[in-house]
Amino acid sequence: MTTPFLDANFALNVALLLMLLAIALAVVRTRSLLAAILLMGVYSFVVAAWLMVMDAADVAFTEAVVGAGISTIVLLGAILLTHGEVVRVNWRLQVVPAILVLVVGGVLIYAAGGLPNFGDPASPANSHVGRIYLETTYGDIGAPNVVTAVLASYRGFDTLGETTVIFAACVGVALMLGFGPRVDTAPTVDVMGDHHVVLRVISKMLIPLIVLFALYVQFHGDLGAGGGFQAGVIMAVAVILHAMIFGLGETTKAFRPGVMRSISAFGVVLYTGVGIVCLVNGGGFLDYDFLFTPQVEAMIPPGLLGDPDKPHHWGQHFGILFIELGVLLTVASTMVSIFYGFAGRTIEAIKAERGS
Amino acid sequence: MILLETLYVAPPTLTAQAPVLAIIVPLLGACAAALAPSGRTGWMISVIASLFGGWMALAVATEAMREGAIVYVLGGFNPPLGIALRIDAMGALLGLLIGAVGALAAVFSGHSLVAEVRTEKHTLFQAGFLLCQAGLVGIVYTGDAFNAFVFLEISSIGTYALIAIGEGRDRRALPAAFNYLILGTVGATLYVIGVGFLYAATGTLNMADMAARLSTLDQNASVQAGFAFIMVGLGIKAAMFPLHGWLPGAYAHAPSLMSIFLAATATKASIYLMARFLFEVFPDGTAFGEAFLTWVLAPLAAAGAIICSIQAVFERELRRIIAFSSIAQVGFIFLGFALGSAQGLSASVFYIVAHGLMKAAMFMALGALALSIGARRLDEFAGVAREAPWTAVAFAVGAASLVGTPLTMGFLAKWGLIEAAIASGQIWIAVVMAAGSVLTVIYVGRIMEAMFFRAPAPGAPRAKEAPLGALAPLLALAGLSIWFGLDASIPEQLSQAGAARLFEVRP
Amino acid sequence: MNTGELLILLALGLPLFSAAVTYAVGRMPDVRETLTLVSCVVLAVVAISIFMRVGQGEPPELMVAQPVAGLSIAFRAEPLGALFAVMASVLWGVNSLFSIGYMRGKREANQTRFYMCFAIAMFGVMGIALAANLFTLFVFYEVLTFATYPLVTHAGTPAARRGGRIYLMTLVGASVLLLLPGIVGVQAIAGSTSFVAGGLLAGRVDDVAGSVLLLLLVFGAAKAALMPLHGWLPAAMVAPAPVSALLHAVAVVKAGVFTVLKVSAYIFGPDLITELSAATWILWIGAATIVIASLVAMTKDDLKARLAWSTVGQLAYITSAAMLPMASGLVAGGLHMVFHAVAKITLFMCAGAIYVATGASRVSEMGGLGRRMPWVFTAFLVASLGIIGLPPMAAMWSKLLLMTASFEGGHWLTAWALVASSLLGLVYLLPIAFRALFPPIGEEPAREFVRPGGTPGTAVVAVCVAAAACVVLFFLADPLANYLAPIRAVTIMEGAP
Repeated sequence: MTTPFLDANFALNVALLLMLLAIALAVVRTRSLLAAILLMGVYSFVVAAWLMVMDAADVAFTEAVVGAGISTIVLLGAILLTHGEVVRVNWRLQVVPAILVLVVGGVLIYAAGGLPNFGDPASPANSHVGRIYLETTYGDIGAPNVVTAVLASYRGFDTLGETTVIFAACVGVALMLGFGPRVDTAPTVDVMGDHHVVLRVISKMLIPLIVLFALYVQFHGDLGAGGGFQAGVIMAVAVILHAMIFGLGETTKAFRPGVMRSISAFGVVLYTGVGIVCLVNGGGFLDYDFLFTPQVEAMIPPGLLGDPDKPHHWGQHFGILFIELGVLLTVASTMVSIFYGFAGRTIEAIKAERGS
Repeated sequence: MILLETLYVAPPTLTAQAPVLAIIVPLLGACAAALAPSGRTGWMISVIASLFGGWMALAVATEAMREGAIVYVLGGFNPPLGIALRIDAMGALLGLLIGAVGALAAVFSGHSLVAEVRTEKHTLFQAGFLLCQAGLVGIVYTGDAFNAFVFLEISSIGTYALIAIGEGRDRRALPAAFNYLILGTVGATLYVIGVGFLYAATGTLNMADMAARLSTLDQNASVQAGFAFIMVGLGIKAAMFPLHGWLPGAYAHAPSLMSIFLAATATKASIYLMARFLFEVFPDGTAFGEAFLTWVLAPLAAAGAIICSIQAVFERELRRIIAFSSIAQVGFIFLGFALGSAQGLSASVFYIVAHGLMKAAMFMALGALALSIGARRLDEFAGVAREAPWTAVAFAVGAASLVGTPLTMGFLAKWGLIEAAIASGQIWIAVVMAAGSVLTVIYVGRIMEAMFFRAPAPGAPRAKEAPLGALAPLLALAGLSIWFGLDASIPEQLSQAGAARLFEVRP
Repeated sequence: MNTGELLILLALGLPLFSAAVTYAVGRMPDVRETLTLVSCVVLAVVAISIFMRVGQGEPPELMVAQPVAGLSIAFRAEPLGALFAVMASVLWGVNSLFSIGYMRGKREANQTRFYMCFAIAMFGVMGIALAANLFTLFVFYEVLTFATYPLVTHAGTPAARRGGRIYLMTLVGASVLLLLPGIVGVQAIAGSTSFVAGGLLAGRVDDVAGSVLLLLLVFGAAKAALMPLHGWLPAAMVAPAPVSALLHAVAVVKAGVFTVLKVSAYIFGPDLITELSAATWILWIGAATIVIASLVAMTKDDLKARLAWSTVGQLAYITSAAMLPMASGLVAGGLHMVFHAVAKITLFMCAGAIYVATGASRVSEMGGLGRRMPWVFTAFLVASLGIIGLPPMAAMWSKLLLMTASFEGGHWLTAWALVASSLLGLVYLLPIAFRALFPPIGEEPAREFVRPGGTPGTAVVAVCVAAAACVVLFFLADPLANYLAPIRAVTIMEGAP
């Protein structure tokens, strides 16, 4: 077999890498924060595309949703509070950071020499635990998507931790930025004027679709790419879109800031609660096989999920369902809370400006 | 001698689940505190959750002492498939430290939060505090390299905001929190990059499994780079000289509760994680591991111990003096690691506990004084011993332990380190420790002189003795420093058993 | 609990109890001072009982705590320590008597703190005297340092604080940098730090390691003021006279030389120490210290400074004695520790009495004052003779023994230094008393009384008692030497490692 002069895959990789490099340089060069943020969104999309090329669908999805989506929105909210321009820094102050960056880059390049080839089936990552996951997931968990099985069940404790990190971020932002606009003081649609009518009509159509998509991502997580994290972010985007178009006042009436924070905590409680139920039933923490006592399990109709003859791991199935729900609640409400925090600050800032 | 078993009473079913309960009870407490209707309720939740967490840590310590090491499997999947907590005696000791200081700090916060933080933020503040506690316990308990990263993040994310809240009292809290945020995130990122490299080389995230597979891989470039990334990443988190830039501001300008808790536990958890990578994950005798201990860790630790002590001598603000002292003490701890012996490791872990207790007492005493006076510079503390004798005495006990006064835990800690240094023939390390101790005497002497022997400046605000609710935990902390100075059997046995075990299983 | 344990507990507990009571009744000076005197008497009785029991061959012992394996807080009386305890507790009583007169006469502030710190310092001294191992000794050594720091800075002036800082930094610095590593070294080598008859380290160390440890331990005990670590002693003279008297003639400096003696007798042992090269170096340094300190003392016009420098020299006698253990060196050291203490405390109390009564602190201001204060200056004369080592003063014996020991050991340098120092003593001490008592005819006393009523009565009593002791001890030297003999004899009989 002859190797073609230019492998298509290779060419694609090089092209994407060059794009990433170009975007990164542009981000460094530009002095406009707005441009930098948008470029970073683009960067994330390119990374997502690249990850797709590498067949890492779940990661690509997350990168697109979080990196290009919600991060961009939050950063945009943040620069409303700043001058929007970078102050030029004396180059001498940048010498040491530059050296550090070069050192880290050098170490990374050195380290790459020890990495196995991409996709090598004999590489440690593919031959040890990774291989066992592939072999046992279906038997142990019953979920077709191995990534979901690993995240939600095998390493469910990590995911609980990550959900807690999100909750911690909610707490942190609320502490730092306050609690978002008070319901009665936030501007409503009236003060926003009437010239967004096209946007409003379109968004009224879009928002239900976004929510629907979020639910699809949520409940389809164990079959394809997706899960609570991505669904939560998409859900939050629907709410944020609503706030952008219809005014914060309208949104906060429907999704009160206090309630959002409570939901964020509740998501973690739900997740932990699943673990504790397992624990009370005699298993280890988060051992979903113990989620239902045998009596409860007997009450589940065998045909609930189709084929009644196929053995079902009800505990695993419902355990994953519940904890993904917890993740969804925490992520969505935290993202909304963070947005509220920034938006509330912005409103205060605008008011202060008008007042003075 | 008092044995652990006599202190711990609980049904065995609870004991079996203690490792995970020590983590998730504070975590659930955080959720409950965030939902609490009033600051007072939030405080009560915080106290109960911390106390329960501390109780569970006691259970874990008892078990770890009896069993040697506990492995708690999560999700029903044995490692390396699933995640497991793996707690040896040293980890259990650190968990105990975090639990004890957490519980006492929580009790203390009833008064100090009211004085320092706006009322409507109390519930969230307590939530953040409990999250930090859960995260730190997780770091020392987990047996999984990536899980440790997750807990590192849990303990950090909330902390950044909690430090920034100090702005109500001290505007410098904002830049300090920002510095910490940036450096802490860089540190965590470097750590996770390192773990990534190790995963690529070994295909596993479980520390024990990793250790078994790394023993043949020490020539691998990505393993070496992974080691470097992990050490630098954790070095930032642990405030290893010269990566300590974030620490003085973060400790000095944060609200009292956070100063107490962070100073006693936050860097300690990272230091311990570093020790686990150095002595548990990376196999004995790898060329780069040895080189790191001899040519990187030891000189940097010595430099930190001396330079930061000198900075503390010339610093004018009391809280910053103590913060610089913390970095210097981290240097002492790393010097123990650098000895590369079981004795050195166990002495260092003992030192960690001693230092945690003394610094918690000192920061808590300052927090108690902050209830009545807003003093920052050392001169402004002149004569407080007359107005607030008990607080001053508790501070003095902590300071005495810091200096290494006999009959305090700090003395035994220094003794152990110096003895380990002499035993392994590294006399220069003993010399550095002695020199650092003298510098400690200088700056602590300045503080003591101001507090006890100088008259307050005329017209200066008069300090008042702290109320009982704040004084009780403070005296308890000071009492612990004394107790373990008179009978150190509990920390000594745990640290020695853990270190001996770690060095026994190594090839 | 047997009697021995009880006695040790009492010896340690009484000063602490006294400190607590002093604090409690601080507002009633009469009660406070009465109680202080009562504690002194009781403590002296306890110390003497311990002394007797040691003499009868049933030394009291007490084990208090063992923080970690191999390190214990434990007490065990032996002849040297029992003697030190008796000396310190008796002189505490005498000095308390003097303090009352002095402090009231000067109307000093913070008197309660003063008496409290004094009592805590005595707690430290008792601990040092009775310690069964180096670790315990170290603990109480530090207690003594920190308890005396507030006494040194009692005046609260910038000068006092500066003196206090030098005092604290030198003592703590040396103990942390030298003494502690030395102790840890002993622990690392021998696995314990107990005082063992015949020497803990005997047969366990070579010349290099032994020399390093000896240097660490001797210089680490900076309270012994061996040059070049003597600077704190003159600096600490900013303290009030009673403090200088008790602490810088008796408790603090003697704790230093006591440590050196204990290290020599029980850590290294007579056989080992004579073989160590470092012992010879220390003897040279000691000889230099003796001569230099005496020379400097001559140049000082301030009486207390002169006495301080004299102390530096006298302490070097004892350190040298500790390095000459094969003959009567150790006994000479132990005796000189006591005799010098008695003589020096007399001198300091005289200096204090003169200062209270007339405000004179310089030697040049004291001409003819003997006519106003005959008792005080007579006592001063007696004590001066004691320091110089002339009969019928007790210190004659210890000097004699020391000189014999240095000749026996072939250390001529030490012997000549002793002779030189005695001659210099004649020059810097005797003229003070002579010029005061027998001024040239026609010369009027240089100063008037500044205190109505002249010298405080209690101070005069204290001074006279102490001076009398110098003479009485002259006749007790032989029994005391016999009492101390076991520290040497035991080593000869059981000394084999």
